[in-house]
Amino acid sequence: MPHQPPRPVVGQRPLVPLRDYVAPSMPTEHAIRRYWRLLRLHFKPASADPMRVGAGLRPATRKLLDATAAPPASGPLIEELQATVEAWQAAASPGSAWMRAIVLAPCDHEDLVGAWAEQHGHQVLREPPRSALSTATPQVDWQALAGKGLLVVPQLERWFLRERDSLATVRGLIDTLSQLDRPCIVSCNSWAWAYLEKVAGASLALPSAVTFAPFRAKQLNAWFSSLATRDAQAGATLWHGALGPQGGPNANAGPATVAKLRADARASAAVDLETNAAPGQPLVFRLSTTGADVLREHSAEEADDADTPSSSKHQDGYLKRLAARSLGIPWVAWNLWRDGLRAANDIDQIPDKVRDTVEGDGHTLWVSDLPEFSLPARYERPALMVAHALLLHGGLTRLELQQVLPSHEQPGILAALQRAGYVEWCDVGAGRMSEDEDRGTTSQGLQALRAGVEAEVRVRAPAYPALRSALKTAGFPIGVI
Amino acid sequence: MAGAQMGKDKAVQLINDLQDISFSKIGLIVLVTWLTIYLVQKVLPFLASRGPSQLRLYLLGAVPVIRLILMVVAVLWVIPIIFNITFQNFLVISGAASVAIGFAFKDYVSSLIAGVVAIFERPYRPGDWVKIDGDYGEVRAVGMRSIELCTPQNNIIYVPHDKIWKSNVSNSNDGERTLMCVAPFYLAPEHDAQLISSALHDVALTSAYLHYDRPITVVLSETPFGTHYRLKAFPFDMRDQFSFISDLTTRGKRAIAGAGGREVAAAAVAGDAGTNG
Repeated sequence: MPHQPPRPVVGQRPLVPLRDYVAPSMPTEHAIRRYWRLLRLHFKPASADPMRVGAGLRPATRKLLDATAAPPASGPLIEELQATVEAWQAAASPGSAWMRAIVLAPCDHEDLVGAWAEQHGHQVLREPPRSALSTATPQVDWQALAGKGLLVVPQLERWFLRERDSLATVRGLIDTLSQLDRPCIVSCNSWAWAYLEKVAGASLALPSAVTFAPFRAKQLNAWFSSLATRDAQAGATLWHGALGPQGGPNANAGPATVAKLRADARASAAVDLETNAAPGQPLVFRLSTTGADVLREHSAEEADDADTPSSSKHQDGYLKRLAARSLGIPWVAWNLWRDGLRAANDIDQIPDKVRDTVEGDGHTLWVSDLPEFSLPARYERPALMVAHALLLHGGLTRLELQQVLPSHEQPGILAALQRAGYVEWCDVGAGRMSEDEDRGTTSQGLQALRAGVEAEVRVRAPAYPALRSALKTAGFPIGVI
Repeated sequence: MAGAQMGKDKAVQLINDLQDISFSKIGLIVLVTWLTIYLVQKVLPFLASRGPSQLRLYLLGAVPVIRLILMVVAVLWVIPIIFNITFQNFLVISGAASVAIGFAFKDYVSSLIAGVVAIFERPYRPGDWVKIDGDYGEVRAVGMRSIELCTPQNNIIYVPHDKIWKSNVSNSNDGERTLMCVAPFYLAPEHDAQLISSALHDVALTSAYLHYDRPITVVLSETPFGTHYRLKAFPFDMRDQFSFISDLTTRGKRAIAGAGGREVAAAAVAGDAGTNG
C-alpha cells in the first residue's frame, strides 16, 4: 500500500427509511461459489470451522487487532447520526416536539445510539431491569419524560420480554412517547421492531422509522484504510511485540479494555516513532489465498462497478463479498474483518505464489477467507428457536431464555451454539466477559456462574448473517435488516 | 382394389409384428421413466425438507405433476411401438378397454382418473394438512391411485383419490405455509370476560411459534358447559401446529388462572379437543 494521507472515513450520509434499506448484493460468481461451498458443508459439516486459520498463519492477537482495526465496531456512524440529528433539529421549529425511531440491525453491542446520546449530553431514558418488567411497578424513571430538550430512549428491545406479563412496560412507554411534548429519538433493533409492530403498534405510534444506509465496499475500504493508517505505527510496534523474538504469540497479550489497548498502542507507537521504528512503512492487508492487497487505493467508480477490471478484481471482490456477507451492517463487517486477520506464524508454509507478493511491504497482515457457520447437526430447530429469542431481545440471561421459550426446548443448545461460534456470554452491562485468543472455546457462562455474575448470552456479530439466513430459510419472522 | 385390401389388412393388424417391435427400446423407455420418477420422488422431497420453507410446498407439489407428465410421455412413446395405430384400431382398443374397465377395474381406474383431476383441481397437495372422511393428517405423497396421509399419531392412511367424487375434503392450509390453530378453553361463567380475552390474546402474542403477519382472534360463546373460549392464531410453520397449540394451551391455562378465571372439568366435549382449523 503506497504511503498516503488518511482519507475521510465515509462521507456523512443521511439515514434512510427502513423500508428502503437494501443490503449490498454478492457478486454472482462468488454467490455461486458460496452456495457450492455451503452445499459441501451441508454434507460434510466437520469442515465448517469458523475459526479456520490457514497454513503458516495464526489469528492476530487482540492487541494487534486493536491497533490495526480499532473499536468502536460502529465506526463512523456516530458522526453520521450526529449530522442527521442536527439536520432534524434544524428543520424543526424551536421548542416543538418531534419523534424519530431509528431501527438498527441486531448485535449492536456497543449501544450506538445510547453512546452517542451520552457523548453529546442528551437525556437518556434507560430500560428497567428485566426482572422488574413483570412487576406491577417496574423501576422506570418516568420523571425523565417531563424534562426539556432531546430525550433519547435507546435499545427498545431491552424494554420487554416475550412473556405475557412483561409487555405492559413497553406498551406504556410507546404510548407515552407518542404523546410526548418534546423531541425524542427511540432506537430499536430490527427484529424487536418487527415484533413490537405486532404487539404494541410501534409503527403506528412512531411512524417513519429510519436506519443507517448500508455500508458497501467503498465505505468499508475507506473505513478500514482509515483505521489502518491511523494506527499503522502502533500496529507496526505491536506486530513485532506480539510476535515475540521467535515469531510466536506473545504470552503477555492478554485481554484488556479497549481504551487501555488503544492508549497502550498509541503510547508504544509514540515511543517507537521517537526511537527505531521505520516510519512510512504502513501495514498491508493481503488476502491469504491470492496475496492481493485488500485495501489498495482505488477509485470510487471501480468500487461501485460490478464489472470491475481484473487488475483490482481480488481487492474489490473481497470487500464486496464482505459488504454483501455483512448485509451492509458496519459492526458485522468490522467483526468479520477482525476475525479474518491473521499473522504469519511460519512464512515458509505460505504458498510461494502468495508469499512473493509481500516483497516491498512494510508489514503484512493476512486476511483469511470469510468464515462459514453451521448449526448443530440434528438440533437445528431448537438452536434456531434460541437464536431467534436472542436476536429479538438483544441478549438474555439463561433464566430469561427459559421464560421466553417453550418449556420443552433442548438443553445443551446454548453450549453447542457457543462452540459453533454463534453466541457469546457477556456480563450484563459490562461488555464482553472474556475475549481471549481462543475465542469460543472456553465456557464464559461457567465462568460467570462461578463469579456469581448474572451472565447474558447474545448472538456474535460475525454469525448474525448466517443466523439470519438460517432463520429466514426456516420461515421464522425476521427483521428488515 | 388392391389398395383397399391392403388398408383392410392393416386395420385388422392390431399389434405390430413381433419382429417390428423393439423390446429393448420399450424396456429402455420404461426404465428411464421409472428411474426419473424414482429420482424425482426422492430428490424433491429431500430438497423440500432441507431448502427454504418458502419453496417447500412448491417442490412437494411438483412431484405428482412431473410424474404424470413423464408417464404420459412414456405411454405415448410406447404405444406406437407396440400397436398399429389406425382409427379402426383405436375404436377396437378403446372398446375392449371400456369393457375391461367397466367390469374389472372400475374403482381402480376411477381413482386413477380422480388422481389426474386432483393434480389440476388441487383439493390437496403434498404438504397440505387435510381431513377426509374423519381422517386428519399431512399429505405425505400423492400417488397415482391414492394419497398417503400421516396422522398426528404417526399412522399412515392411504386414501384413494376417488374419495373426491363423494366426500368433502377439508384442507387446513390449501397450499399456504401456515394454518389456523385453535386452542379451546371452557370456563365457569363467573369471570371478567374482557380480562380473560385480553390475557389470551397476549398468550398468543408471546408464543415463540407465532406468525406475525396473521391475525389473532379470541372467540367466546356461552355453552351448557360454561363459557367457551377459542384462541385462534397462526404459527409461522404449520409443522409446528401441535407444539403451537400445546404452547397456547399451557400458557393459556396459566393466564386464565392469573386473570381470575376458573376452568370447568365438564368441558370434555367431543369434537373440540385438539381441534384445528
